[in-house]
Amino acid sequence: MQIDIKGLKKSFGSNLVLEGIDLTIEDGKTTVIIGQTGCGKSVLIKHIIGLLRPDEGEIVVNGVDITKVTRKEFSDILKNFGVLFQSAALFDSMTTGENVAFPLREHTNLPESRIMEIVKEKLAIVGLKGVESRYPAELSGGMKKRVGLARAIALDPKVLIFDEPTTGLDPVMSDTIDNLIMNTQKRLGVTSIVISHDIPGTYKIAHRIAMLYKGTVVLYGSPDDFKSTKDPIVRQFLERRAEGPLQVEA
Amino acid sequence: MTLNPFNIFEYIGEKFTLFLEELGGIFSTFLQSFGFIVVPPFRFRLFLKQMEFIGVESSFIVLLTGAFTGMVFALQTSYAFKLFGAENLIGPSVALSLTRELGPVLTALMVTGRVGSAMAAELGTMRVTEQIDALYTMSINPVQYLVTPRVSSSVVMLPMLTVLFDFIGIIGSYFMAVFLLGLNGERFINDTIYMVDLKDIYIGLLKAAVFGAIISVVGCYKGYFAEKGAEGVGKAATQAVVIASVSILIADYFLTALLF
Repeated sequence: MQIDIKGLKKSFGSNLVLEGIDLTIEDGKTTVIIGQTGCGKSVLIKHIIGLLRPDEGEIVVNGVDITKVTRKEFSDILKNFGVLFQSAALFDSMTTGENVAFPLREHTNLPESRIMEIVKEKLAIVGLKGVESRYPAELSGGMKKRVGLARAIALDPKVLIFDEPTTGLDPVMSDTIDNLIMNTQKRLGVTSIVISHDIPGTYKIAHRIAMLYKGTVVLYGSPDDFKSTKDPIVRQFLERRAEGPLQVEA
Repeated sequence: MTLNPFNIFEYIGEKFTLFLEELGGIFSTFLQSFGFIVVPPFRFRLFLKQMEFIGVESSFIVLLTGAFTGMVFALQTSYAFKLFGAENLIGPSVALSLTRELGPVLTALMVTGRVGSAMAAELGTMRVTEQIDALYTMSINPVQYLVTPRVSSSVVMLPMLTVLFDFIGIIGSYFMAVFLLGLNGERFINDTIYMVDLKDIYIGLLKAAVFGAIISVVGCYKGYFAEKGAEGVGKAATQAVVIASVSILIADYFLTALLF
């Protein structure tokens, strides 16, 4: 599923967050969006999943401009999306198994026995076994993210969106999650969009990288393009330097 | 420092705009939640679960409050009625006060403290931990999934709890009047039945249903739009109780003036 973003603008009051984003998320590829905190990455993602409406511009998913469809039509398009939130966003009143089963129970008429099989299957994909009856509060941060991923892929979506999937995790767990993103992408052939601050992880999982700066895309290309770029903004960000054109907001 | 009168007008204007925004938001939540009652999928299990939480689990606190309200009301009225030898009016006056006024209002205030704050805190936590966003991205309307079952079950359960409050309150006043003040039990019952109209009970229950809508809509609205983490959730819960309690008392005045 290809996603074309054209001239996307969004402001909150007098604060212009997206100043005209043009970006193509290629079908079946992993695109990582990087950039400073507050540069509009999450706002961009929220537009793609319909949590925000743009002031201007369009987001075309498989030929349909999702900024102009009705809520019902968009709801149908959303069924092709799986989202892993930064906090995993597991329903804390439900067990792990119920969390993963939730989209299946809501959107399919599968018998309960088949749903439980799929739950076990999806949890196995993310490397978890025997955790179905545990509540999210009983899981570690990394386990929560993995359960969140299992829930996101429960309906075999065509697009997977990861909002800072490795933030707050130790390096080993971060690499495990990166591997999971790569394996899931390969296994399901999905289009993946990842928001990340983790540069080594980005180079590992990305087919394409887009860097946002002041509400626009400052560079879009392959990991090799990013490694060889001379753009001072991109270089400063990738080299983790405080000195340079990128400034921390006071 | 001099006080600029223009700043005062600006301040009042700002607060008034915020008030109107809040009112509009609450009303819109009310309309949406009721609209979704007739739109499939029907979430009967969630409705039952909320009925248990709002109704069954509030029954003990309502029983306790009802019994003591009835008892203290009998005690207080006995002092007044004794002055002109009208102790036989204790039963009817307690029953009328309970069914028309105290039953629905006190039940609603007790439920506001227990349920309204819990709704705001639960939905607020879901909001700040992105669980509401997660529902939305799974193509599930969060208002239909979270708000509608809470509002509809509140509207059903509040009248039931009020019946419980009225009944136990009258029993409490009966025990107080008969066993402590030495009144004739049979006369107490007969006078109460004679004086209390079915209309008194019905309108009391109608009030309770409106209060149920107020408690749940305000609680859900404050929680649904909570922001700024744990502090925001705490604020939402407190505001839900304050706004719902004040709204109940204001609505009570208008409903009494209109319906009786």
